[in-house]
Amino acid sequence: MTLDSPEDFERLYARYGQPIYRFLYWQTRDPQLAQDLTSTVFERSWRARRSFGGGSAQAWLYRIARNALVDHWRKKKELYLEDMPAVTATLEAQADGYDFDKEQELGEMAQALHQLPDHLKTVVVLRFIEELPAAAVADILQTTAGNVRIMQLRALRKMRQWIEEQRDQR
Amino acid sequence: MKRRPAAELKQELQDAGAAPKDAAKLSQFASGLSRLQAGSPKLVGSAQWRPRRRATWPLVPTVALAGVGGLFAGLILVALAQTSFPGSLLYPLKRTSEAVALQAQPDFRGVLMMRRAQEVRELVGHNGSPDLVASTLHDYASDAVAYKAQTTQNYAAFRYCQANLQQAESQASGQERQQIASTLADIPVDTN
Repeated sequence: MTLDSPEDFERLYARYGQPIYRFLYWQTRDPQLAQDLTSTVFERSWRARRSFGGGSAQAWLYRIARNALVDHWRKKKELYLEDMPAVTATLEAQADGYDFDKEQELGEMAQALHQLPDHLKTVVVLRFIEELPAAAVADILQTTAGNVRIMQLRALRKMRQWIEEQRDQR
Repeated sequence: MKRRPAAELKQELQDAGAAPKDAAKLSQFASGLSRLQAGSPKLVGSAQWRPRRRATWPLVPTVALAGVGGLFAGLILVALAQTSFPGSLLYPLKRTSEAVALQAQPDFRGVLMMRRAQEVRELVGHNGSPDLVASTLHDYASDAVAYKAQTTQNYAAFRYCQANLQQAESQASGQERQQIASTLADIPVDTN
């Protein structure tokens, strides 16, 4: 895939804009911030297009997205752990018929996700929300697929444990 | 993006060290996470992003404007320099512009000759420095000799120079007066 012209980047955005936005949204829980960061990612990738040495454009974009997130967190030093009105509103809007249990379950998952450390959260978003193969996630995180599998096991255990603790407290 | 079978994920989790029963529960749990994708908000204006090219085009009018502005300022300076006097700040610019004009139009030598004669008269009239008078007189002589070699037809120009230098001579004294008289004698007005 070549990334030389504006048209190449328009195609890139059409293909990866939404996944990158989702990735950023689940990392920040702020739709507007995720939107701004998505623009930042594509602006940065456009400026850095000469550094794209072929290979996976997807992995390259996700790496830029992670760097944009790190930069943002460095500036803000805040996490978005509070309420989740945006998720709930979206789920309500998209649900085929209102399903309280389904919404509650998804809400729990979303909250559990946000209890994770950033590196595990990234693995869960890429592996189970974006449904990327372990090898692709390894490419993005610049680690091994085996390491990704270990991290996903830790993340899933932590999430399930957190949900069970929350249910026990109710 | 394909949804991976729970069995495949269960095997991955087991490979990472999970017990079979634990791996089964976790893979089932993970399968629910994919529903968060549908629960994600949508990117607004997802088809509208366009890469912004580095704006090179505004440089063109900027540079052009700067060029026009510079040229305009230069022309004003050159115009002002035309009224400058030997020894003034703008006088070298006047001489440079004269040299350029002379290259383009050799007949301009007659104008230069008249200007130098006029400058000599004004320098003497304003008690200018003897060195400036001498150098301007020298420049006049050079121009007059060169112009005389070009043409002897422009009697009015030579007569104008002669009148200016005679007036300067009448105002000058000492060595300065002798220099002017000598120049007048060396370059007589040709009436032929």
